[in-house]
Amino acid sequence: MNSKMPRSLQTDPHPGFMGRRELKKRDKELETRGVAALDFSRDKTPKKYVAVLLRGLLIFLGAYGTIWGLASSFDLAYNPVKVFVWLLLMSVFSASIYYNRVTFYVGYALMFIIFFVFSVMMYSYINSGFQAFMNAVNEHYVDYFSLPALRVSDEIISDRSLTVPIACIFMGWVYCIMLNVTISSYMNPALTFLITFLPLQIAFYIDIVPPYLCMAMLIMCYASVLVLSRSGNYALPYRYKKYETFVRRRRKKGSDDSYILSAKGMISVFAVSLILSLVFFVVSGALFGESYSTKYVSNRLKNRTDDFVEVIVMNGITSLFNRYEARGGLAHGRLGGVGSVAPDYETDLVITYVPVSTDIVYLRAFVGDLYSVDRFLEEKDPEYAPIEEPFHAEAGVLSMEIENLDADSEYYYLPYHSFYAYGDRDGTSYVEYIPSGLPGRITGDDIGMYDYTLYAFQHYINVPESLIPVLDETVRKADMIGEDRTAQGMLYSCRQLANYFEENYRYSLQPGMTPMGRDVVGYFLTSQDRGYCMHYASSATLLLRYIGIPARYCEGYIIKPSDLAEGELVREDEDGTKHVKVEISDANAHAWVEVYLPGYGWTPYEMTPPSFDEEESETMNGLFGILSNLFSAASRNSTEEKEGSASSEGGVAGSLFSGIYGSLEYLIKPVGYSVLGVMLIIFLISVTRRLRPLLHAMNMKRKGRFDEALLVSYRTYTGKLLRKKIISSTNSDSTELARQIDKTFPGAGAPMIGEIVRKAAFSGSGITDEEYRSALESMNRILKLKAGTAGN
Amino acid sequence: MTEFFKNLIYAVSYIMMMAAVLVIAIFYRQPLASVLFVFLIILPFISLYAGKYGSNKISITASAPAGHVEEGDEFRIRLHLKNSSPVPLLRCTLKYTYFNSYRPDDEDFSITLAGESFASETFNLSFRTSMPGVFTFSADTLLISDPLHFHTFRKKADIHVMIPVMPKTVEIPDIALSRFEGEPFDDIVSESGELTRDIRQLREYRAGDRLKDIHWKASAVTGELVVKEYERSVDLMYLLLPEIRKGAEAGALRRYYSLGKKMTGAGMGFRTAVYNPQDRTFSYFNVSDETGLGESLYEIMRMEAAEADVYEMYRAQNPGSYGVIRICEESIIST
Repeated sequence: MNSKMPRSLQTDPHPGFMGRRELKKRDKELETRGVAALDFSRDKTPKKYVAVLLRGLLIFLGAYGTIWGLASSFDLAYNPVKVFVWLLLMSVFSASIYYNRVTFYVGYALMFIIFFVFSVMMYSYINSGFQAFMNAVNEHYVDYFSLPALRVSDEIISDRSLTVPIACIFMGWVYCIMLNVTISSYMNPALTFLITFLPLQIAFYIDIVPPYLCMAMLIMCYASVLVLSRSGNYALPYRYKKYETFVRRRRKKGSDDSYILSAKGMISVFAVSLILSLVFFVVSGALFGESYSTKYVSNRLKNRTDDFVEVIVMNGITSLFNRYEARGGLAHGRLGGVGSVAPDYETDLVITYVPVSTDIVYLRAFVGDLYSVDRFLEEKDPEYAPIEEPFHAEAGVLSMEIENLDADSEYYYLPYHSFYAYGDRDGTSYVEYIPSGLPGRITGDDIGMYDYTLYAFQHYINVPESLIPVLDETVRKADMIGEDRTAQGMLYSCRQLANYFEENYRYSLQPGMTPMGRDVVGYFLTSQDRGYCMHYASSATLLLRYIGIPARYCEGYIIKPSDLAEGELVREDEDGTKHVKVEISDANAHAWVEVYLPGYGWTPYEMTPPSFDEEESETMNGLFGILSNLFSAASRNSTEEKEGSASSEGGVAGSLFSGIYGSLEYLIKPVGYSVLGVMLIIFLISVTRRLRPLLHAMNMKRKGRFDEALLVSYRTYTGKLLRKKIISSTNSDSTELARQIDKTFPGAGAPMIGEIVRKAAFSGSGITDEEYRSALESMNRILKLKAGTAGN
Repeated sequence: MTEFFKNLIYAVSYIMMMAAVLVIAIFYRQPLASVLFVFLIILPFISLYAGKYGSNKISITASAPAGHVEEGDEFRIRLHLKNSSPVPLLRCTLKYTYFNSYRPDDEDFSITLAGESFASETFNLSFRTSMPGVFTFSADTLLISDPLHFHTFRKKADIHVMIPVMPKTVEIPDIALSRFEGEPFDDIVSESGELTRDIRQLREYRAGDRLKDIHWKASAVTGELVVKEYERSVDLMYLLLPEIRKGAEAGALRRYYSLGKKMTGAGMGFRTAVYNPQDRTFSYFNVSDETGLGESLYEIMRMEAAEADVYEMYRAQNPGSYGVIRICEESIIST
């Protein structure tokens, strides 16, 4: 015998049961403590195969529930019986892999070989079935979002009755493998929940509810896994190689042993979970199924995520990666890739000027000339610098002081029509300008204007050829071709286009990104149908150019009438001229189109429709913003958001309470009813517990069995006294209790009650009606007394 | 980690799960998810009620092998857990300690069992000993967690098991045992030997019995005359003094047991002086057969091991006594 072997290993009748380290510890314990704990066992050996079967069932519930839920939600004919049988077999097979160590290694190897062979042999079917599923999902999403385009994947084999069941079996098999790890190996409720519940979000997202029975299956799976994991009685020996039924965890001082497998307990948990899930099935289906469906109530957060989902549905997942952050301010002609705009509302410019009207004042900075797929480029070395461009003027010269706090320092910010600028671009600059005043006559250099007009008509009417079909169709729809090419005719076209935008598109600071590779203007005009100033200005530029009107894309800041109203009066000249200082933030950054009107020069034109959700942008920042948007009601269909917002004053959000209630009605009602139900049950239990002895006593009294009637009443009486802490226990002898009661209520008749009760309980001859009555009266009297009160 | 923190972790994880479902319910404005949320609200109450109800219906008892076990033996403590409620898989944790009387320590152990619904289960805890003494197994508290592990209910277990672990016998060389000489234990003298004050047994009165031997109290209770029969000093010629010193108990016990067996086997009775280190006194036991030997051994093992020199203590208390047979860890010294 090996002398180095621990003593216990040499003498242990089951040396393979515990490892060397464990045996060494035991030896040490024997040496130091004189006694050591060996293996622990249970009289009835748990049936491992039952545990394996139950795990198989749990895996099946999770896998089949998910596959069933997905297939049914998207109306796929998946041959339920065939899939049911196959998944059941696979689940049990997967679970049985954990029966012991041999089955583990052999089983996994075997399973992966079969899986590989199946995948290769059935590749076309699986692929086609999966594409069929994706097509079905796309169809539902396109319907839900009312999208104009539908991406269709190729199904190599078009017979869905063949491909869909095979794909379902394949996907179910993958689920069995994953759930086998989360259930058989770890019994982890969180992972099980994530794996099975997340895929169903594809259906939930567009208001499709999987069948309630399928949900009940999943609930049963979750509840069983949750309770089993908490009870700690689910392990199979493979997880704890050294132990059969107990696992030992050593501590610094002492150890913890846990019983790890209870097949019978698993069956009980299974049964309880089945009851729970059936209750869920009944409650969900019968009580809260359709009646609380709030189809048109959504929230702003979901509407925002809808934007991203729409892009993915139409252009695939890669379309999400073409983006950059827009924090307000100038974009330098960059157009695509902005999912949302989140201004910081910090002051960018402080402007001191003399307002001559309450119209919007445009401060031009960036001027886009050439258009490519996703941006406007600035003209390099233009023939005319911005301040040299001729313009129509009929008013006097004014001066504007611009202090740049946080705006882009690359530009001067030039009001229309500036002719001289000086000072620091990143500090304080000064601009001399003559405010435009339409309509009017040319009073400046007519010859210069004429030359420039030719120049403008040559340089600012180019559009990309690839966009011509889209532009052509939009021009036709907007009916924007004027009768002549005069300034009035051009203005007519502008007006028609602005009206068209207002009627068919909506303003949004969260329009979603332009998919990668798509033309921004083309995507906006055909698919996106919402956007902010950048989208409208860029599209209008190209549309106007397309019909022969010179147009440019401009970025800069605007001074709105509301800014002017909040402005500070700096000084007032003797002639009554008022100098006002206004602060404008990056929220005032703007993009607009400027059109060249013969005889008037470059004139800004506002194409951006009015905003209905500008307040929204203020609440989109940070966790609070997300929560706020989560709780705020909105129309479920994002295309109806505008309507919903417009009618919100008298509707869902009429008041704070009705707003919250209307928004969360679907949640408040079930919770409210459930709480009421629970309270009702508690009330009924309480009433029954009080009434039952009373009725029993009355029944006994009616039958003339006064002794039994008295004993029932006596039990209630001692229970009440115990709650009042007048007696310490109800289990004592009636004489002893009478003594305790008499201490608190001297002379109230407690000893007499004790005697009669004793007689009723032990004499065998029973008690008389009179004795019963007198005892009962005394008991009632004592219960009405306050502590320390004499009974006399 | 205390039960409270374990429960707290489970409660926090459950609350996080509830929060996730609530967010899903609000995000989708989905009645189905809100029903699930309602379920998650109600479940903890059901779980707590079930735990409370189940804990009232659970009981645990223990049984141990009758008599004694031999040093080096394996033996089992059997725990009987009964759950008479329908609540399945209640997690029951029994906090217990076990030790040899000569190696008491503060190590605490726990065993977690499954309280299966409407079932009585027996779990076996196996132990092995490596030294003589009194094996003690005690458990005061049974902790019962509700199915979702939010709260742990405490229940009194009141399990206390003591099993004497008899020493192994060792080879005792033939040595000349010295006879005890000292103060007589009694002044009664008879032909068949010196009578002592140690009562061997009580028996009915026979003609010729001395009046002073009548046990009046026992006679009054039984209604018949009962007399005391005393040990005779002829059986008490030897006085064994087991010196159970701290850290060196096993050898002395083995030698005492082996010598005792040898002597009783040869029909030689003896007295055993048992030292109690707590009050520093000696008590005496007469041993004439194996049963008496076992009883004396049990008395020895119930006492703590001594820090001081036992023989010196004996000498100090009995200066006129000689011929004590000292039984030490390594040897037997016949003085």
